[in-house]
Amino acid sequence: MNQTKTDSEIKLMIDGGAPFEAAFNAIVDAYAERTYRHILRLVRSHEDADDLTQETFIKIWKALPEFRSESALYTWIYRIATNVSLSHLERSKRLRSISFDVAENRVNDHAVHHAAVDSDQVLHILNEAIEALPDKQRSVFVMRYYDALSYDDISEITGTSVGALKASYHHAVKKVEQFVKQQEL
Amino acid sequence: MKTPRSKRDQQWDEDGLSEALRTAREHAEPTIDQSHLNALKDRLKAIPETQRTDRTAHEQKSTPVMQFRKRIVALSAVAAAAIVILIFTFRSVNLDTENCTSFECMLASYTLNASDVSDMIDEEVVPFNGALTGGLFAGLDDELLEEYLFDSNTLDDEIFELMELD
Repeated sequence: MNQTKTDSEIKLMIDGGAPFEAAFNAIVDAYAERTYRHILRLVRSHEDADDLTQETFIKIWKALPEFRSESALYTWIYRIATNVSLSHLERSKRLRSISFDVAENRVNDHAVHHAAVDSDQVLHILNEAIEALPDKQRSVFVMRYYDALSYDDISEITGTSVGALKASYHHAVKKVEQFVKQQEL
Repeated sequence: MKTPRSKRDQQWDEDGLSEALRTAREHAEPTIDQSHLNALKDRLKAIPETQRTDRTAHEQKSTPVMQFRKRIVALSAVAAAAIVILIFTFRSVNLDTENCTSFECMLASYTLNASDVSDMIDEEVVPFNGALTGGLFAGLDDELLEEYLFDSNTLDDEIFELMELD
C-alpha cells in the first residue's frame, strides 16, 4: 500500500540522491489534495483548479533539482501554487464579471426571500464575499482562514512582510464580516 | 504599552472573526470527489514522463532558424523591460513628493516606506488617528491598497502596531 511520506522523509529522499521521479511521486502523494484545495479556494472552479494544479506540479518537477532542503517543503509548494493561481486570476481578470457590489446586490436580493439565513446560506454568502476580494488579499485570507498558516509562513510564501499580511488579513476579514452581517439583518 | 505579540496574534485569530465566520469555517471545506482526486494524482505522476517526451520532441524540432528567432524574442523582451524601467524611473523622479500633504499623495508616489510614514506621523503632516487608519482601510480603493501592501511591501510590523493604536 502506498503510504504518504512526511516532509522530512521527502527531503531525505532529495538529499540522499533518490531519483527525482521517486521524490516527485512522494510529493504528489503528500500534496496533491492540499494543493488542489488551496488552488480551488483561490480560483473557485474545479476545472481551473485541475489545470492549475497540473501547472503547479509541472513547475515543481522542473524546479525540483534546484530545491534547497533547508527550505520548508510546504511553503515552497504553497508559494508555487499561489503564484500560479494569482497569475491565472490576473490573466482572467477582464473576464471576471463579479464585483463586490454585484455580489452584494445578488445576496441582498436573495435575502429578501429568505429572512432566516441557515448555515448553507452563510456558506454561500461567505463564498461570494471571498470571491469578491482582490486576488492577493483573497490568497492571504484563504491561507490564514482555511489553512491556518502562520503569518511567518505566509510571509515566506508571498514574499510580503508580516505587518502587511496582518493589515491585509484584517482588511479582508472586516469586509467579509460586514458582508455576512448584512445578510443576517 | 505594547501588547505582547503572541497575545496580539491570538487576538487577531479570536477577535478578528465573528461567530458566523468561525462557524462557517468549520463547514467550509469544498467537497472533492475521491475518484476525481485519484485521477488527478495519476495525471500528476505522469508529468515526468510527459515532460521528457515534450523536451525530446522540442529538441528534435529545434532548428538554427528557430534558435535565431528565440534569441530575437529574448532580446526584444529585454529591450522592452529596459524601456519600462526607464519610464518608471523618470515617472517617480518627476513626482513632487515634497509637496505632499496627504497620505494618499505619498502613497501615489510609490516611494513611501516605513520611515516615511514614521516621519509623517512625527511631523504631524497627517494626524495619526482614525482619519489615517480610515483613509488606509476605507478611503483607498482595493487596487491601490493591494498594490501598496504587496508591491511596495513597506508596511512593517512597527507601523502596523502604530496603526493599531487607533
